[in-house]
Amino acid sequence: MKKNAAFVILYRDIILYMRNSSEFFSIFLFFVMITSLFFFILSEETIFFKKIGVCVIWINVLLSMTLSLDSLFKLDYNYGISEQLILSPFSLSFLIFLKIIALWISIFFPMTILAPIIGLLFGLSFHEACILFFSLLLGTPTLTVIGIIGVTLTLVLYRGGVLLTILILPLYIPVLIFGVSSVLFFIDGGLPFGHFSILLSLLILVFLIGPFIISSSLRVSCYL
Amino acid sequence: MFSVKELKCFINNKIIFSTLSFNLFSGDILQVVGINGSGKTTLLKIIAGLFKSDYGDIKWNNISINLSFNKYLEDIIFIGHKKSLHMLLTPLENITYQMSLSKFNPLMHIETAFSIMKISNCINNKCIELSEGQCQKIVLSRLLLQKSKIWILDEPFSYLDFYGINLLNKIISNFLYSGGIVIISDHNNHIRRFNDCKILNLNNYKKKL
Amino acid sequence: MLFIKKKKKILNYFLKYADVLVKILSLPCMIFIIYGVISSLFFVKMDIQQKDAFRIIYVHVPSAYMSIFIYVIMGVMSILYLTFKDEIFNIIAYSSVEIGAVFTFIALCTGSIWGKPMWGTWWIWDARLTSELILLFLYLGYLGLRKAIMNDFIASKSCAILNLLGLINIPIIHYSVEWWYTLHQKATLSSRPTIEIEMLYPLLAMILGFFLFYVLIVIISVKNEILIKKNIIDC
Repeated sequence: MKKNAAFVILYRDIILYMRNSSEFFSIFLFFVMITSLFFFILSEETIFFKKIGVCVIWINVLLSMTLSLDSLFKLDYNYGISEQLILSPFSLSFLIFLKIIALWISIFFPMTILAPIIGLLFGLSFHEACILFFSLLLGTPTLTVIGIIGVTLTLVLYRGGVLLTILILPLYIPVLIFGVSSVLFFIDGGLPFGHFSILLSLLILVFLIGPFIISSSLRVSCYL
Repeated sequence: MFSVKELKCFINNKIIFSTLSFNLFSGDILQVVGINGSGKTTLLKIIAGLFKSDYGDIKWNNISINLSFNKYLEDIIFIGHKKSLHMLLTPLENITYQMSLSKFNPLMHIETAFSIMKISNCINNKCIELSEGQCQKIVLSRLLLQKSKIWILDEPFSYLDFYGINLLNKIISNFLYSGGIVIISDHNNHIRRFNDCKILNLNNYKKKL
Repeated sequence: MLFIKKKKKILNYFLKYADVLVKILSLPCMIFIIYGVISSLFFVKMDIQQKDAFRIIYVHVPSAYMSIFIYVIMGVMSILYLTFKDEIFNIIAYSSVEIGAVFTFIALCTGSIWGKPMWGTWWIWDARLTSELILLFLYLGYLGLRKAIMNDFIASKSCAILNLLGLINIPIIHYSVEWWYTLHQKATLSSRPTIEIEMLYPLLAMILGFFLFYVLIVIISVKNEILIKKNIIDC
């Protein structure tokens, strides 16, 4: 029963993301448009065009992320589904873990695949784009969890958008630093295994304590 | 046996109610009564476990619910003010999701429950297209499907038509007959048909300031 | 307005002794700061390399220490609040946020003013400065969240959780100069002090003075908050 139930819960969240098709596609369109704005402004002869491209792609991933985080959790809270999640006999941390995976699979995994393709526009070679893909693959789950922590802290607010960004940006900065510098290090000729290992350790740390923090802040938000 | 002892509720440094105590046995139904703002919803949330009060004790089968919280959650159904229905999903998907959050298999087919509640015709529409009464019936169909021993219902008769009110009364009486406990808050006294309904008036428990 | 008897004791003790404490502590605080300022400006000898520019250390180092110290105090209060659910911890944490943010801002500003003649640049993205800036954002985030949420109970609990999340930044600030190759110099006060005794005493006096100032501000703010909660005065 429990194994089937996990798939049902996961499937429902993914379906909800996909069904909200206008918002779903607009996040990717936003990402592509802002990146291409930079592409139009800077010419190819600009010094460090490749390096600026990598930074631009990573920052746009962050921005698109903060746009898309609110939607599902806010709606769930307003419709009262968060209460039923808390009152389920299954552990709340596990249910939240499933929600994190659903969010990552529906929105950030496609973005991880899309970003290196856009990176090719900025003149990245195939190998450099692969390194960008791996850095995003290791970085985006961490960003998802940190983002969801921010969302559940501001769940009670009517319009928590800007405050959410202020809260989670300090916590995003380490991931951003190591993610970007891994690709820049590779462009300069080194192998970024050190950077990847730090990204992986951040990922493990955040997944260990994240669901617990999210579940306690979700319980707090449902006190009203 | 469900027992509440000396329950106090403090929100924002205001006492909502204090020294609240009652006992409920199998087949009992309790109606919580009070003026608007006297803390009915808060009391129901404390009983359901959404809000933990530091003062007072709630015991289910002589074990405090704080000690065996997950076991207690297996035995209750809480239907609150906010209908826990996602408006962009169909009723079937909503109820399937809700059933997968509970540990037991549903007691009957979901379509059967929907046909009992007379909402089979709107089973494929998204909930946002349905009326409030139909949404309320979808939420209440959970009572037919999930095996439990305590029902905590916050204004379940709202938005229901005449057929719905009779149906809900029948469902509640079947549940009480099979040994369940129902705690309900109801403004319109639809529940007064049960002659042995215990009444808890929250106005008596407000501390005079 | 009724408090439970257990809580009444702590808060009443606090109110009883708050006035006395303020009177006792304000004199040493003034003495320490006046001594620190005067001796750092007039009596400490000029540094050979930096001439007179180094005197800003007497503001920069105490405020940097206080910014980290206050965040740790807030973290401890948050842990105590989440465990024991006693309002006093929450009130102390809430009162220290503003002064902590101000100290962080002073540390960053004086640091960049000092950096211009020393390193030739107002700002550089090395580990210590970046993590200090992150600390400022964490303070501002706490304040923003606290004021945005209307319900007091939810606000205090959410901010306590946010505080605990931010505690991970503190070891990074402290050990960043040892772990990475940065432009910022190593710690001024360590187990083997490399600073002259004459320069050390005013620095210690300033640190103690800032600390007593923080304690005074917190006592007055906490007393204010308790009186507001008791509806004795209007907010």
